[in-house]
Amino acid sequence: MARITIDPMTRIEGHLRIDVEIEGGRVKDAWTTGTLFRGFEIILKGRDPRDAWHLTQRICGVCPTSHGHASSMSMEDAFKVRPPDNGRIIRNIIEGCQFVHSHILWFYHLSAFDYVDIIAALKAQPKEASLKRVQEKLKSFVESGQLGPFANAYWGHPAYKLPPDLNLLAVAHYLEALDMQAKASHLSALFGGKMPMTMTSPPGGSTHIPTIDDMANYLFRIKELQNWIDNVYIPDVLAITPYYLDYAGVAKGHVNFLAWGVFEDASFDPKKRLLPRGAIFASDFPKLHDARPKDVTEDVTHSWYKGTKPLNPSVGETEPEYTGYDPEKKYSWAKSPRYNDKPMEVGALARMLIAYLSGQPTAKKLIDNTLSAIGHAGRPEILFGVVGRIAAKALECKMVADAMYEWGLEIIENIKKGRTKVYTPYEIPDKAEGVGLWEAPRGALAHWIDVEGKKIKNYQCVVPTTWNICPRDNKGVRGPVEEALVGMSVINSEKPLEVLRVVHSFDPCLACTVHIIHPESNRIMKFKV
Amino acid sequence: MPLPKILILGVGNLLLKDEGIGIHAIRELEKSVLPENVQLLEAGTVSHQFIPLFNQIDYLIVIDALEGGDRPGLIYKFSPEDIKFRSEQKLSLHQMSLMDILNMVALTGKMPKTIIFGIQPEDVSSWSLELSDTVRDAIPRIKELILAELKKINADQIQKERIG
Repeated sequence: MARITIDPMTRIEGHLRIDVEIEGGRVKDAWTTGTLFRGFEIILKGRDPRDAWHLTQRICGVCPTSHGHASSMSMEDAFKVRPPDNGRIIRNIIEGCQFVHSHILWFYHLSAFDYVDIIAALKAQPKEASLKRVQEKLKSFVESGQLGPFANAYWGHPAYKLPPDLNLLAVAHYLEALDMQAKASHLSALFGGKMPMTMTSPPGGSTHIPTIDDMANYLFRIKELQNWIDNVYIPDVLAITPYYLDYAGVAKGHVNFLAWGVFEDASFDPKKRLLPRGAIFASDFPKLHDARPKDVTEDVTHSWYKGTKPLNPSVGETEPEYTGYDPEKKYSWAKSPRYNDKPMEVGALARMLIAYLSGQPTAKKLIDNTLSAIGHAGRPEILFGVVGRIAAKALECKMVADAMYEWGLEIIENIKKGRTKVYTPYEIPDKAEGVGLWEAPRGALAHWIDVEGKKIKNYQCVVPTTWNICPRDNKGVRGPVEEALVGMSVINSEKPLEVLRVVHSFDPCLACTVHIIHPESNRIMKFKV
Repeated sequence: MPLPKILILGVGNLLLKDEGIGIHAIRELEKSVLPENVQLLEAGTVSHQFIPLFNQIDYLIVIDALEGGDRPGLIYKFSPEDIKFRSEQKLSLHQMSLMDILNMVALTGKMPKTIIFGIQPEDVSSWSLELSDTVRDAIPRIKELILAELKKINADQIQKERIG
């Protein structure tokens, strides 16, 4: 039996660690470890509640906006206040920018190279001048030995299956995607003041009053992103998928899905959000269930915290107690969140399946068309697993970008009618409790707040990556990524490409800690000054 | 011809002792009178968000911690094309390093001329806002080297104009 550990940070704690046991060419068992203690819950205790939406954005430099929104919503729930219409729409737009930015970045800059072989792209024989230029650039890059962002993938692995031309096309789009993700971020900053860590979404609504000029600028730019998603991102996913259909319905995990829902509707009904709230369980798929925050618990049996029984986050505790890495006992800083005692997968696949089952017309049409295109019409269950996670992000990206254009028009209509209010004032009560239920690009996100004496008495965040990479619970039931890894075939345990494909499909998001420069050789000695 | 746009980027995590050297150095440089074509920036742990900025400048000077296995406080000066860098197996988008980002910029073809000042740290795993003595003592020299570099870049430009 071989045991592989993928723990990229060798020098310091801070990232995701994956351990898999391989027997007979398959993963027999798996353990996922969050190696960093977060502790925001402790930082927030005793502070003015209005600090929370700024501070919690710092949990994640990739998806700060979602934390800010979930935090402000927890206070709106506690303080009984709602944003006016334009405030609601501006928040949807800023959140949308982050979804579009994050999905493009994830697909092209983290996930694509699990399927696209850079070295094989050099064998393509492109006719177009622009592709020739990309190939030349790539060639000089590879020849210099400086693979940079492409280093450390498993080039030449037999599990790479694309023809050379498609590999090259994907590299060309990887470069375009760098521009596109920047454009999406630029739009976040247009309404959010800056990006990352937007400044304009406090409890009560927004502090940005949009002008017609803003909106014209916005509509022009969002159109460009929509076109790119329609003409590049979606076609790329559809072109690559047929070569990897062996990954459809593979690494399914528990097949329980949870979404709190995202992009607020004018009715403030979470079931009417663009991506609605709901839960799916393997036991009675395709039945759609309601999702209620009171049914969430967090267990710490295998996590480095004090505590004996699973607790609802409204009364959750964060008392760290590090006892060393021991897969039999405690092995992660992530707690084990459970919904009705079940581990739940969260993310774009969960949201799109829930939207599909709820009959959301756009999601229904996009998914049905995709199932037909890959030869599985009427079988949404083929989307469980790796291919489904990739497809769901692409389809969701399109759905969100298209909706963002419409939201822009709605703001203009509101401005024309003189409905320009963006913020509702409120008083902080002496005592109040609330929960903000929302989604980050990576999945269900919730912030619980308990206010006493106008200060934060208790604060708990249950974030998407915790749902996905959590350790086993008190019954020994694996977390979603752990479960998804079990049974995966691994051709070469020295180059566990298949493991990476599964892990990347969940788009894990852990801490930004240290990015020290590491030269590869001792040639650095020559450059002493 | 206007003077070239120069960006000095301090990279690091201020919470982890010597890992924060880039930021400490920027704060020190802030105290000097710098030519008007120079911009200082605390970059933290760097991300994709910097790419558009890198596309808009002519020169990039980076100050960062560098693990060269030598005595703490030692300064290295080089360009990205001089040596190979270790790039990690990435499980998360948070793991993009400065070198990864610079390579992406190089691939898109709008790469500024780049000089990196790397400083050998003593301790990058203790929680501390203060540098080790060995690393703090290197700051005056880093400042000197950077001011000399700025002078050279601007002098070269003026020289070019005279010839041109």
